Amino acid sequence: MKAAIGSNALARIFLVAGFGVALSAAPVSAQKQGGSITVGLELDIPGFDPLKVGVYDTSAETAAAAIFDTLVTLDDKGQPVPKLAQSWTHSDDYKTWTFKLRQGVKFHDGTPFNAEAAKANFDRQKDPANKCRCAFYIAGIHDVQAPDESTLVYNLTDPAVNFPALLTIQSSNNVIHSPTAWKTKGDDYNRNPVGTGPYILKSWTAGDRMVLEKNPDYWNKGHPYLDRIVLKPLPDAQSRFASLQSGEADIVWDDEYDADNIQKAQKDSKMTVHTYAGSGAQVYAFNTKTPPFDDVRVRQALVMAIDRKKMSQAITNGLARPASNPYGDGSWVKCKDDGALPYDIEKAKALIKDYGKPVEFKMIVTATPRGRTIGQVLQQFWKQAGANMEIEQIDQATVVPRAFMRQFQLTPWRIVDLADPDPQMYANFHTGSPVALANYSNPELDQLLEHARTTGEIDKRAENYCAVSRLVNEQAIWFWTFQNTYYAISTSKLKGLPKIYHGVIDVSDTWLE
Amino acid sequence: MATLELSLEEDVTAVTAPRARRLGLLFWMAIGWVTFVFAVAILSDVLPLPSPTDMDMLERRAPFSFAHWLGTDGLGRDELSRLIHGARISLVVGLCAPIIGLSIGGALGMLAGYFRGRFETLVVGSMDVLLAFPPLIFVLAVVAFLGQSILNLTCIIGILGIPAFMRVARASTLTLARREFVIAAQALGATHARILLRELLPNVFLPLLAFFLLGVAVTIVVEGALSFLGLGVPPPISSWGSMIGEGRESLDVAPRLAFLPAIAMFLTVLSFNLVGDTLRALTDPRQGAL
Repeated sequence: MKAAIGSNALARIFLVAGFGVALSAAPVSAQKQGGSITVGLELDIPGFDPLKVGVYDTSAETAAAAIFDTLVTLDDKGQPVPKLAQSWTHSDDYKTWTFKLRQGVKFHDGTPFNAEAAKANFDRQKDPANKCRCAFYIAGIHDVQAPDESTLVYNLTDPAVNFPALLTIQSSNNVIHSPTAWKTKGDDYNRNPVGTGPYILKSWTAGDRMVLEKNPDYWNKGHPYLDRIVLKPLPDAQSRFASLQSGEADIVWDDEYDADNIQKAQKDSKMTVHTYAGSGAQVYAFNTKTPPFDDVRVRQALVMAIDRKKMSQAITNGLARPASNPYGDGSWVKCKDDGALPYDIEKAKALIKDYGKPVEFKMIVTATPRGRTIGQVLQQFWKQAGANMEIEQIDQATVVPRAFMRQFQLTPWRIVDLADPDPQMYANFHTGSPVALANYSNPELDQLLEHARTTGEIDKRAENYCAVSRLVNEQAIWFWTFQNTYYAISTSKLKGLPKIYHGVIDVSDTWLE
Repeated sequence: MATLELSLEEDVTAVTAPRARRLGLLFWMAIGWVTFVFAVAILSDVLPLPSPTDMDMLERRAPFSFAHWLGTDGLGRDELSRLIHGARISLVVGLCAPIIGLSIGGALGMLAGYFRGRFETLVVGSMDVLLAFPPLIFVLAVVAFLGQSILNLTCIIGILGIPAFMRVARASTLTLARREFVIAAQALGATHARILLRELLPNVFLPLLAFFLLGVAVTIVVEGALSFLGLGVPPPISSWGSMIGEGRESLDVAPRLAFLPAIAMFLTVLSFNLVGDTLRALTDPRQGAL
């Protein structure tokens, strides 16, 4: 325990010092000022007001990363480093975190950024009267206090060892909005966001483009480099890649289901493929309260019938990395034994035969080419094992409410790349959580999850999470197909793109060569 | 389905036999292609074809070979087999949906054209409402609400076709209802039912049938468009539209995956159009007018 705190404190000093060095070194290197880029995103952005949109998807987060700032950001090694907060300390039980905020920062509308403004952001989302769908993700934070201008104190309900790292994703919870702006603009605020970030929203045509202009008064002097960023929703993978080829776009979002184009870009010297092997995985949850999934044999059989290598070959030209646990290679949780069930079609057949009754069920897939392909491949695997799956295509936006209402037998889900497994693992598997989609309750699992979040020692936590993985794999209440790998393809002229943490393409500090 | 198709063919030949010289080669080629598509679609279960849904995941987008005559698709399924099974879907939806339109729309149109008055106002008004509704949005809403299935799809497209059939039937009935043989029948004291069924229906039926064939062509395209958007028949069942949609993903790697079903659909739609057009020309009331 003590050793861990010591190393943390050391790391903090080192990091702050490192940031200072980085700041002074920045103007010396070859970054070029000026120019403009166009970014091709997957989805249209519905808006930025957390009360209106609830949570951001990765497309909205790309825009949020330019318009807003977070308190903390991640460096190249994945360690939390200062952004709007300059330093932080925590109590011995990891339940109280105190942040020292940067001084002299102003929102685009001139409102000063201070502890009071940050607290107002939190209070607005936490207030039950506002009924924000985003509140679920801050349920672990009891309250936020602002004892003075530059001090912000988070009081957590449960210990969180890696709390600053969790504040780095540019989600609706973490980006800081201008309190004056949402108060004066009211309903219009959703499409007129105001932050402290390096870019200011200039114009926005729904479904077509969003134009961001450089913020001349940005607190980080010398940044950003580009004069203008244009964000365009281009939902179709083929047309996204075509606009990159034609020079209409300079960087586009992509995923491994567009493997042909990624591989083509890798061979093209005019393009750069940015990829980040994040933690987390593409996952699926069985509803264990509905037959036939109330029987562990059926669940195990279905998991054992999936040949992930072949599946990766079939739908992503082998780019997708098979997953055997929910953490993945990008996580600090490394397991010697994660208890993954092996691919064994004969065993799967035997288990289904043992079950006796015909196995027939519906699986939810998103009504996208990606969803249909995955659905058909899984259907084929399960047909070979003797199970009959019917594909139910539903709109992407409907998947989440259906999952929350438990109106499914088998649903897709995603464990996104986060710096710490705790928020998602606890939510996904602890009894009584709204996201515990499997409807499965096991005191041993609960205890492991609780212990993992209250221990400071990283080895013990990893051991706990490996035990969780063994239990979930053995019971087969969820299964994982592929680890998260995030992709962006850009022209080779675009430089300075940070790692695609959380799947968010953050172009706010890039430059053109 | 099969019996309907057979009777259709008979009608076609019966009507066209005396004027065969005027029909031309194109018409017979169209008939030949339609017959061929019908034959393989009906016989697809008997033909020695691989299953259209079995995947050979390591044999993706295989070129033409003896095992797979037209190669395999993006998930390693036999392309020829999927094309033929896709023809089934296109034909089932393409024929059943216009039949719904033909029977309901035709009946409403005849009644409206014969009885006139308030009933006609009501029918024409409600059909205008149905026409004014954006069809694709309507289909989207219904599919989202009722779920995807061949039955739902057929019903929706069928209902959307009612106004067009109603208009054709009403227009024909309006002109026919004032003709001498109808007035004569009325003077002889025939009941409304008898006049509608014995006097009017045989005369209205021919233009309706010609319009039906055009309706088949349009429906095949609509089904293709819906499947292309992922709103058609649920996977893994293949339909031409969904095959084009899936093939589009690998357009520059294996363009044949999108083009083969597109060609099949193009030829079929063209054939139905040609046959329908020829029939319409033969039954055009202007030519037969006194």
